[in-house]
Amino acid sequence: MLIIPCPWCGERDESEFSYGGRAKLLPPLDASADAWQAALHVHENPDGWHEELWFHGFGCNQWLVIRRHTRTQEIAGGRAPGEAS
Amino acid sequence: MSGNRQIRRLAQGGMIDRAKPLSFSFNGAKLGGFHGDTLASALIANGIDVVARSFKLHRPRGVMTDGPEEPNAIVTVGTGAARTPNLKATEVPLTDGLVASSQNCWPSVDHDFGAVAGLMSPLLGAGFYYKTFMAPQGAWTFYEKMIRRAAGLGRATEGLDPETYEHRHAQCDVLIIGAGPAGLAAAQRLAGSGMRIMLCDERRQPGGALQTTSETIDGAPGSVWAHAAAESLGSSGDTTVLQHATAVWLADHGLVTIAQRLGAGIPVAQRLWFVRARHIIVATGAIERPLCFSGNDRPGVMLSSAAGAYRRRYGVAVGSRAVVHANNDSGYNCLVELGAAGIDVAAVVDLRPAARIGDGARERAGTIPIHADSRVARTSGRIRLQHVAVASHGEADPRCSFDADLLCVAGGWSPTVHLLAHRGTPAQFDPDAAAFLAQAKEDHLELAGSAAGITDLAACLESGFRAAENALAKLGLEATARAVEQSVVSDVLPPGNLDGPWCSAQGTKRRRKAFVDLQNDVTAADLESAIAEGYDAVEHLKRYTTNGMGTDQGKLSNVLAIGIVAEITGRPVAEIGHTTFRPPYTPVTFGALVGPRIGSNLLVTRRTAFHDLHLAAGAVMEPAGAWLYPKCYPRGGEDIDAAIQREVVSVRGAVGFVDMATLGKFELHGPDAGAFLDRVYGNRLSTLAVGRCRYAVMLREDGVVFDDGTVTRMAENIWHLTATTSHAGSVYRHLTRLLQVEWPDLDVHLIDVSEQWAGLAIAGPRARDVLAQIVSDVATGSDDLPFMGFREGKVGAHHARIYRISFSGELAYEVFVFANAAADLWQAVMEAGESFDICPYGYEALDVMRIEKGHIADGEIDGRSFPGDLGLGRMMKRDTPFLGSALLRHYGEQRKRQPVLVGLTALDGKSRIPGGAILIDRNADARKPIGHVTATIISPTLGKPIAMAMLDSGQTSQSLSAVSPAAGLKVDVTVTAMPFFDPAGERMRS
Amino acid sequence: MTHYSLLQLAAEALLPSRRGPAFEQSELKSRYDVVIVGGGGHGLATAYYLAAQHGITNVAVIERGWLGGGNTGRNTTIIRADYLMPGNVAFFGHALGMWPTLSRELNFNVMFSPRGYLDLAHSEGQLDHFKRRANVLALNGIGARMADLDELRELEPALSIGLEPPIPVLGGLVQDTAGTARHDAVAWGYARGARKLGVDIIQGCEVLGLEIENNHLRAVKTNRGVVRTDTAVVSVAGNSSRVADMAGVKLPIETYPVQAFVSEPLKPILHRVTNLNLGYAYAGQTDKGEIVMGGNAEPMAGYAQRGSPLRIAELTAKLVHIMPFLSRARLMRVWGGIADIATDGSAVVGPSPVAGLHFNAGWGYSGFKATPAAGWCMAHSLASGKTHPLIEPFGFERFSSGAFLDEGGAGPYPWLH
Repeated sequence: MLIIPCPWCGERDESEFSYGGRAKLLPPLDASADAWQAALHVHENPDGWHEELWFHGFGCNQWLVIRRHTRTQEIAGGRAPGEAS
Repeated sequence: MSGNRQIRRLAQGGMIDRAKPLSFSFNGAKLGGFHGDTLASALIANGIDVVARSFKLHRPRGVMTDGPEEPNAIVTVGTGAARTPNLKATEVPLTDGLVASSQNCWPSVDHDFGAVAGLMSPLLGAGFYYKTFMAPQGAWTFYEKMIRRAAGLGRATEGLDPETYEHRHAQCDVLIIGAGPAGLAAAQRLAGSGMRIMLCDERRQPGGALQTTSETIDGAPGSVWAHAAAESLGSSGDTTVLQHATAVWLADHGLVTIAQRLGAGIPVAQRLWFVRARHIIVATGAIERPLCFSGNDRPGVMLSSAAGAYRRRYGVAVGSRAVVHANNDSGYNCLVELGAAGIDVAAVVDLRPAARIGDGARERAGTIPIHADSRVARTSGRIRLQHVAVASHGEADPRCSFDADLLCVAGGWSPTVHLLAHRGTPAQFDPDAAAFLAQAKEDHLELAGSAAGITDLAACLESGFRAAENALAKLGLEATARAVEQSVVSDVLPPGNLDGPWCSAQGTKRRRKAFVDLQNDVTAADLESAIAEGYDAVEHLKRYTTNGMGTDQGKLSNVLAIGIVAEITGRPVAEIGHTTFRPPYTPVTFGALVGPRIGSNLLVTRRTAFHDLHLAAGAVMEPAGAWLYPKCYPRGGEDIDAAIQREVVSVRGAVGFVDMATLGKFELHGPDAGAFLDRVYGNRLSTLAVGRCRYAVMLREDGVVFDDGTVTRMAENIWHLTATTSHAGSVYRHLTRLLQVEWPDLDVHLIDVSEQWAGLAIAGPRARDVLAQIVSDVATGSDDLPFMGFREGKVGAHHARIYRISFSGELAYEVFVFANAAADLWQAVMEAGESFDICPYGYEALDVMRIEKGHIADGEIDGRSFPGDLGLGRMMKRDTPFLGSALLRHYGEQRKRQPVLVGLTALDGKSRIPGGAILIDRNADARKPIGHVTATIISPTLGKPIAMAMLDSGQTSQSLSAVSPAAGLKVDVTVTAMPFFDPAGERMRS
Repeated sequence: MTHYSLLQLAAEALLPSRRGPAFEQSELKSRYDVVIVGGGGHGLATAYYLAAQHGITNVAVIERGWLGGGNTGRNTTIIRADYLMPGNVAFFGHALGMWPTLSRELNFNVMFSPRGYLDLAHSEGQLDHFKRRANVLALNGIGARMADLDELRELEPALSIGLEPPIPVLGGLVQDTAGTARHDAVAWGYARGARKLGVDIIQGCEVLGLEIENNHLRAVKTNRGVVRTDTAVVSVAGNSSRVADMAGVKLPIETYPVQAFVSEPLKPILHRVTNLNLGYAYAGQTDKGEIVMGGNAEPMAGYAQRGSPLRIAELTAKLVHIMPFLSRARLMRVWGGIADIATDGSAVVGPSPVAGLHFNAGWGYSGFKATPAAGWCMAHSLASGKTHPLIEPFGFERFSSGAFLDEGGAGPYPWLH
């Protein structure tokens, strides 16, 4: 279990959150089928730093972005989805 | 007094409480011991030589160690439901009345039939089972039955575990693992720093190795100093000291799992701690290694450090006459303890050439002859050791033999690096220390004491201080290096020049009796043959021979095996490396892992606001996901089916009501809400008029149907949406994600009001009559509140939301009030409906009615259906893009196989269409599935079986059968138009 | 290479020098007809069937670490065929059928033990779903049946099951032909078999790059030199995306850590591998007596071969509820692997957009039982130049055609599969 830095609540246990996959915005709704397919099925799957979404469902009900190292589990900070990394 | 029979108990000494004699039994014999004993020390005191049989060859085994590294003395403790198998006698505190027995033997541990396996041992070498039992086909299944019968150590416990376990979560700034000299020194250095400190230790008393030596600190015996140190720390307020608490797992983000055994008289057997530490000091000490020679598994062979520890800790003499076998100076330390225990030492057999033996060691030996450059060639005795034969290194035959019932072995020390190795960085072999040393690569980890390979006491204290200062610095506190204040007197010999072969047995015959892993009966010969067969990667070797895979987790055998492999292959030890250290450090009781999660605490159970009313109404409650939900309300002896049928008939005939509280309910506020809804639902919603509801279908990004529900426009910019019970959580996450992450520019606020509102759906031809009686401030006429209309009003004094929505197909109203008014709503409905013989109905009746109406639910929305498959295709917007529209269109064109939702009736009009049945064309390929049944009932309304099914599009077969080969059922069916009942929907619009 | 038999065993007992290497290390040559990247069960099986079935022996299996050191040696060894989606049903049905004869074929006892598999249903909905699966399997000639509560109690008397919450059990799906095998032995058996037929096996050989010309594979660059080849199979569960990167190919795959754990050895008490369906939580007992347990992957993507003790504790609580005999037994060992999970949760097998470069990936939790059949089909495809029909449904095309194999209906989110 990780300690996840929620930009609104501070450091909290992972059990308060649910994982939401990589932090990559969806294509515009009118984008092509190809663009949508790529968005859903093409994965970088990095062995290293990964920007990802978590939902603080047993907390502030906010989505947040964290930067996590997929091998060491190190977390380099959390931010609100709209903020620059 | 049974204590009289403790023939190996010394008249004095030890940390036991002789004023508290205890009696216990072992294999039926009544024996005595003292408070402070372990089961192992008490067994030794009573002269018990054979405690257990080994796993594979059933060889007799005695106690080898005094700690968690024990490979031999594995026993079952307790009786009945409180019996525990596979405990190490060295870890079991002796208690009064304790009942222990040997396991893995028959008829008894002294005469074990399984020992015939020993005669076959050359055949049963490493990997033998990979090479045989293959013919004829299926042979393995036959042989396996026999092998399986011999498998396992102890017998599992039947019945419910009578003991209680608890979990405790804690946080601290610094966790120190190990209350030996280094750990205590670190704790003392940290005391008063303002940091929150935790200190844990696996033994019942602090001190670690200090308990087993004559070393003094500040003039006091080491164990006395340790006691005082731990006590003063424990009372300081900012330090928590946990004894009998083993740190077993170092996980990510400073999470340390500690298993604590609690003493007798405490109602909780074990407490499992999950500690979040900002900094961790690992001071876990070191474990002595045995030596590998022929006959090294005979009862009477013991680690040299353990032989001394048994005197110091328990006042026990582990033998009468000893030989010491060592490859380093620290093996000579036990001579003092053996002497003090009155044990004669016949000789020291040292693997090293004379020149490599330290002066201190020679001095310690005094008049005891040292046989340098020599090895123990074999051991003999009836069962326990009686003779030790000694040979020169180069020579095959023994040169001399000693009578001895104790052979102390000293093969050097392995720092306890397990916890740090859990972090994923392999330990590195240091040839000078002849040990694998851990790498503390992460910033929050610190290593101290003999766990770091340090061998003398003063340096251990010093390293504890440095570790503490490093921790302080990393935690942002200024920490100037302080000198250790304690004055230390130590006569403990460090290992000095450790040398000699990893395995001294020569020739295959001898090496077959030279054990590396005593629990799993892995010998040097096994390692040799595994290497000869190409299994020379260290992990292959482990897996092929099972070396280190026993319940002792290879604490004694792993490093020894690596050394022997190095010797056989001529490669350096460092190059061979070690196998991965797996958590936990020592086995953890599953009950402790379960902790409080038993019975009703196991899973979250959600009860609706109407729960007590359901029970009062006689409901049969059933779990549905996390919810407890009324299945039906049987009356006076009705069975379930009869109750469901009656409820349906009541609703269709007059009126009934059902709990709707589990629906997901969300409010949307804001000017962009309509636009948002058009994006997230497939059908158009922004055009909805105020006071109107609309059925709505939500898709995933890939165009598959995600959920359905209703959307209501309560005011110009206030909307209400529902989600199905099973998707309430995921729909909320989905919508919040879209609003917060994808489209933050939309001016919309989403509020989950699922818990706030409790509602009943009142359904049936008389529903309006009931509604009219319970609500005020609102007109209930069909024109005032039309089908799919929404109004607000009052139920009694309570604000109410009234949706004219129908899942059952009847005239129906969903009336919601604040959850705390649920009982009033229920009461009002019951009273108003009394004259219509109103009844509550359960979700089974609701399900029956929705199937009669052909409404989709979880069985159809299965995460694979596209809207078109479910007959919802025409609802989808064509002109405006929405979430899922791009791929919905694309896959609509690409997909080869497209199922469609259809209704089925049984051809004979009476056979129930089997649940989970597959549709086939009985006149064509009867094995080819062309669809499946998603929901099936015998309709009480229509008086015949009906079902919903997904059928491959384009199937026009007139010879459909629904088959259930698993149940041996086949029912011929025909496709029927849906809804089955009231296709024009007149009832719900009435 | 020696033939294994009881006689040989006796000879080895008398004359230890009779033991020969099961699979010795080869020197890497500069050119091969086929290079198989990854010396796990799948890669070795592919090599074995190329040689044994198609006479293609100029083959190298290159392995960065040691044979079977990835998921082959880390899984919980369950072999079953209880799938629902047509492509999975056919493939795993065939796969299950290959296990009973494998030991004899390889002359290496992989200890396939058809002790049965039990899948417990906890709600009416699950029960219906299980019936549907059992029916689909039966129609396809794959043995599976439903058992009610009474039969379940008879089959596994040590289970504590009933209709009561918190974990009601309404019935279960039973597959009597399912079981377990010894995972390491599968890798070793295939390695020995392939080596015997002339395949080169090189451990400690890491792929550093792929040489691609005009979208055709030309060579594999390793730490032991460059190997020219027109055909390579990437069979590196847990690292598929990394090797794909070298070819500029992006996979519909994410990697997730999965934990498993065992108890201390107990006398036999649990016969069949038994699975709970509250999330996954399953247990089976080995011939050594250890109860092997596992469950869902860790919830976040990653390459750390480890997980959280709290997750083990959660899983344990569910298992102990159904298997109360575990409560006083003890957890002996926990380990982790990393599984490649595709966006629809099923395997990704077949030619990639780069000609000559084939992938055998995305098996998630299902890789071990697929080993013989995946190797068989892959070898067939390479030798014939035409994808074997059994693995056709697993091709890359399905991600554009929509012919997904989403067993759980969880959608294009790997972490939910």
